[in-house]
Amino acid sequence: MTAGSDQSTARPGASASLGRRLWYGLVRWDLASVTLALVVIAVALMIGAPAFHSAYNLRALGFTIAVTGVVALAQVTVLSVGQFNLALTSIGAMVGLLSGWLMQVGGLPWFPAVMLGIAFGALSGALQGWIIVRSGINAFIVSLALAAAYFGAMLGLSRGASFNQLPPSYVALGRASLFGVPWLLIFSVAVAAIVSLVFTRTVGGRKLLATGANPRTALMSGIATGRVTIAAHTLSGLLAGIAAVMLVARLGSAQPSLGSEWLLPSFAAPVLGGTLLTGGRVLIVGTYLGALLLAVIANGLVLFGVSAYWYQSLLGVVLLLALAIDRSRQSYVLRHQL
Amino acid sequence: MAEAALAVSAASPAEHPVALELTDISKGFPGVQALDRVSLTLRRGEVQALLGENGAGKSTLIKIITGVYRADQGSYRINGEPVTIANPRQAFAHGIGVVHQERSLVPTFTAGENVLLERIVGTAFQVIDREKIHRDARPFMEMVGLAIDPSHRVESLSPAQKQLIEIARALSQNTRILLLDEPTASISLKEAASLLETIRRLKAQGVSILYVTHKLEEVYEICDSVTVLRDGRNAAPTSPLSELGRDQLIQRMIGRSHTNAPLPARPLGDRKFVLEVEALQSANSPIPATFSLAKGEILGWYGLVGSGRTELARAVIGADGATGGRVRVDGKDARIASVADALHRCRIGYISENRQEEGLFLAHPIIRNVAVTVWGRLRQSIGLLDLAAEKQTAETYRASLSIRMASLRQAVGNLSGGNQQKVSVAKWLAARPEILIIDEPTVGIDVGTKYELHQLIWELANSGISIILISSDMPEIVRLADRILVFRSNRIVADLPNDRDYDSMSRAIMGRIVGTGDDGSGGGTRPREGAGP
Amino acid sequence: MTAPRPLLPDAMVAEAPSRRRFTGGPSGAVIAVLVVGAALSVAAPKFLTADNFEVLAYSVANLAVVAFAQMAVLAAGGMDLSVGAVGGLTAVLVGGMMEAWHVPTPLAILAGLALGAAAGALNGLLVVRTGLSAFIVTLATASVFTGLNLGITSGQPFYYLPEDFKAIGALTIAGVPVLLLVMLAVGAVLWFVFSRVGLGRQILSVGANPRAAELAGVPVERSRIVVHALASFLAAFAGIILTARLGVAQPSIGNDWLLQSFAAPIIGGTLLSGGFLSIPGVIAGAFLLTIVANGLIQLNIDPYWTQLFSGLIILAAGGIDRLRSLNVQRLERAERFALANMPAPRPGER
Repeated sequence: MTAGSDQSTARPGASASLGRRLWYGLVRWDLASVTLALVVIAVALMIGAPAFHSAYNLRALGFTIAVTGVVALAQVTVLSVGQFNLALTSIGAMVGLLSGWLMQVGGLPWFPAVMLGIAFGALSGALQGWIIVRSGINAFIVSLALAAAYFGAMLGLSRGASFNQLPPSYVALGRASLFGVPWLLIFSVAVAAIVSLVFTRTVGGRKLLATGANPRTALMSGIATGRVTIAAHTLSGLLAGIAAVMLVARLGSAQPSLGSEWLLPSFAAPVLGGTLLTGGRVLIVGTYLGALLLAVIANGLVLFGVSAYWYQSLLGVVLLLALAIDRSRQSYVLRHQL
Repeated sequence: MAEAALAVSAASPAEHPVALELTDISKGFPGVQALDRVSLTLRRGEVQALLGENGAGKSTLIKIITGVYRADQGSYRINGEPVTIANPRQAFAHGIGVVHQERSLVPTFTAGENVLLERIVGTAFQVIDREKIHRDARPFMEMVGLAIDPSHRVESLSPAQKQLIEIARALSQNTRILLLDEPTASISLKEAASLLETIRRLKAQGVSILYVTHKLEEVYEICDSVTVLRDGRNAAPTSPLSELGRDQLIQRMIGRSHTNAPLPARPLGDRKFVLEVEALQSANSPIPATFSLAKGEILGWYGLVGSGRTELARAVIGADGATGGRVRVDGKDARIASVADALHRCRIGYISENRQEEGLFLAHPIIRNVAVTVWGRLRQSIGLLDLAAEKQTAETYRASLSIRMASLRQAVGNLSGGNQQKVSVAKWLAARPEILIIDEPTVGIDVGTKYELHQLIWELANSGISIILISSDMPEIVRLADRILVFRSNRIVADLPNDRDYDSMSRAIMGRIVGTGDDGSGGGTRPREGAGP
Repeated sequence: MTAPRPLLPDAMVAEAPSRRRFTGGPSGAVIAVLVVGAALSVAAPKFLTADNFEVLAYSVANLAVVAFAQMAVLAAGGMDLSVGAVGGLTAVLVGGMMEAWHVPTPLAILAGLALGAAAGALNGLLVVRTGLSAFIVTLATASVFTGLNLGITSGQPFYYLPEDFKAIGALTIAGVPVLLLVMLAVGAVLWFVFSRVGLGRQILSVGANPRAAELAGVPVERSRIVVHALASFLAAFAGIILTARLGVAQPSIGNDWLLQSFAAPIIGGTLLSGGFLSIPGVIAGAFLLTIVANGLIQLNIDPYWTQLFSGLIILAAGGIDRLRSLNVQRLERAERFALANMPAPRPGER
């Protein structure tokens, strides 16, 4: 069966060759697939498209990852409890437009406007969580319905308007860099670090993961799973709001189409990075690696002159491939009891 | 039509006198031997009772017969010929039908379509004549005494009717060996009577029936022979019922030649009540229950599966909402609306019987499983979790419970059953409860761990923790409990002080359950007299 | 073998089964349609005109076919997030075939339907072979199909479609649009397949109780693949008839189908849990969504608000589904405990 067939009780590979052990270690590593893909694609790009590692291009990449990363985090918080947030696109649009309106029409300085927007995002997430927990309606349907309802409410109130007369200091933040690294990226990584801290070092984070790993056990162990679920959705809305205001700063305008492209990447990045769709396990670093992979693919398409329209297709294919590879990796690990 | 259908399931003259013969069947799982050289002989056209306490091995045996499991060793013969059954489809093909307690129907199809479910297979592009299916199903439905219109949707039938549909289904598939698992558990007396009548009819047609039950009146009403399992073995070889009286039968189920070494005596202490429950009701436990628990006491709850003990425990700890009654903890009224309430406010813990689905996070490391009840306590000053303290908590219990693991970071799912149970226990010990409800702690656990857990329970009570021990393991409960509540059909039917004498206690308890007890009353669920020739 | 024994009167368990436990069904939706329709006829003068009926008819026709697609997958216990993407892709492929390659209309339509079925088969195969949830698989394939759509068209519609194709979309018989009749015909065929044809019954059994189905010999995996293929086939169908109606093959077709593809079946009584579907219910649900959207326009409510109403209606539909399942649980529990309450305690016992 495996190497060392007479070692039926010892773990396979315990006394196997170095090469074998490295292989087993690699197969067991959750980030194997995404790292491999990244290395392959990055090398291919570096060879095939010299413009890839120009400062300009890398900065552009940085901006993309900054926003995609936070969007992915918004989905990760909900994935941790084993649910999906299909409304984060609409929450993003609502927050973007609200902040834009507050700045442009309400005359608020950008900081309070942004803070209010993010708070509103959190509130929208909280409402979603509350409806799911209290009504018991199928969470998928609730999320789908709110995605439409939130978007509709925003459209109805704003009548399709967009805002591009935003305070220059705010827009400048979206473009500024520190030693060539965009501030938005630094901020995004900081947010990721905080979220990671929450999941690894706080009681709340433990409760989120417990609820996702086994809601019944969590409930029977004294965890208030209803409140935890609402907290997850609230955090998700908050992060979606953060991503929205980041994007508004970057683009310099707030439009109703904000967030419309977020749904698939919000699932793809975490999944590529090892976060489980079923809940109970999140990898923040992996999520960002996944976001990086998605950004690099998009970037590669641009550099090779392929129409941006093919990006969506490629995204879907990459996701399916990554999922399929990871499935077989997991069953390999299970079969050989690594 | 009826004649044709009956002819299909008539016994052919060449059929072997022994329909089903299992010899020396053994089946083991990691850490526990579920069956140890069990034998069973079912003759053609006879009804045999399969008896035994919970954990005796009945369900494992049934799973082997129906092809869900494969025996590790032993021989399996149908009609005298050895067979290999690798999956349920093959068992079905060999004429074995089973009707479980849980329904296996398509609720949105009609009764007739469910009886003849196989008709939709192999006809992918053909038009199905539903009227014909209904017509063809009718004889099988009549055979089981179901005279309703086959075109009624199955989901609108009563549980008893649904059960009959499943039996009719088995018959339509030429089942010659029918297994019935607690068939009268959820049906009325009248329906039970007609079910027994149906069984008589099937018997007359040469169908052999294995009848799993704990109701001795039914056993004596309808069965010809009996096999009793105990602790994974035959208590005795398959015997004709005519040779066995009730007492002998009960003795086979529970009698044991060895008794465990008695545990050191425990001081009785001041017997004030830590828990008083009055007329407590919940959606899953609707019959009002009243009992109390004294400090440092071990209160045993004995009953067969489905008698409502877990449901009552869940009502006490707030897992199911209380719809009536009162709970007092340490003399004060307590409002327990959730497990979190029970744990944090009233210091009541509950070790679930279903450790895999309710007691543990199988994918998570041991540390997290143990610390889940006490995370709130482990905060540092800046609000972050004290990881070292978390690890220390787990380490403490690893040592004190002797949990065998590769490392504390190992996923609990990788541990053996006994060690998993220890982690589940550790989780609740870490919470330092005053009252601990322990639900079936040693099911599926190896003997060594089982005695360690017994010792632990004894010591916990010694240290002042009050314990409710839910168990279907008679020796266990007689060994540990100070007092025993006997449950039957969702009610508490007896409150017995434990004299620690296995023979007298087990007889008293079992008597209350099967309804032929020392209380002098006869069976209470006897079917109507004259229910057939 | 002895003669069959006469059935004893005692042995018959012949209580009339009550209908109260029937969980799914179109009645609620039909009532809602009548109520809302009546309200709108009163509140909006132009609601009951022939012109408006034509508008409504086309809308319902399209929506209902998309909803049939989702209905089928839901009944099998799954879901399909790619219905819109398949519809849009088929629309542009068929349009492109006719405009750029001058493929004759009937052939183009057949090719489009075949491609739709193939897309669905792909979905089904992925779900079955990889064991991944239908959610993530169809989310990914939706992206693939949309990307193909945009990549091929670069966002540009195909404007020059053959007259005979466009005629399908405009044809009416006695004032009733042919497309509406086509939708009803599709519905009738589906009704027949799911109530009288082996394949349909197999699919339903898999959705209701996969283990029981498997035990009976139903090919569970094949049924799942088939139902996904059917769903995408219907989505392609909807894309084609919408293109015929519009007269233009727009890449944006299908963009807004996802939500309503769930709403109409759920409102109409198709169970989210699977195993049951209702064709009249889907049509009623599609009708309700259409007249609500139409009513908003008639009442001069800003069209920007339509999505909000859609979302709220689906939330309500989800609520009804939830109430239904709670009711079933309650009745099952009551039945179980009616028996436990029956025997009185014997003397000498508590």
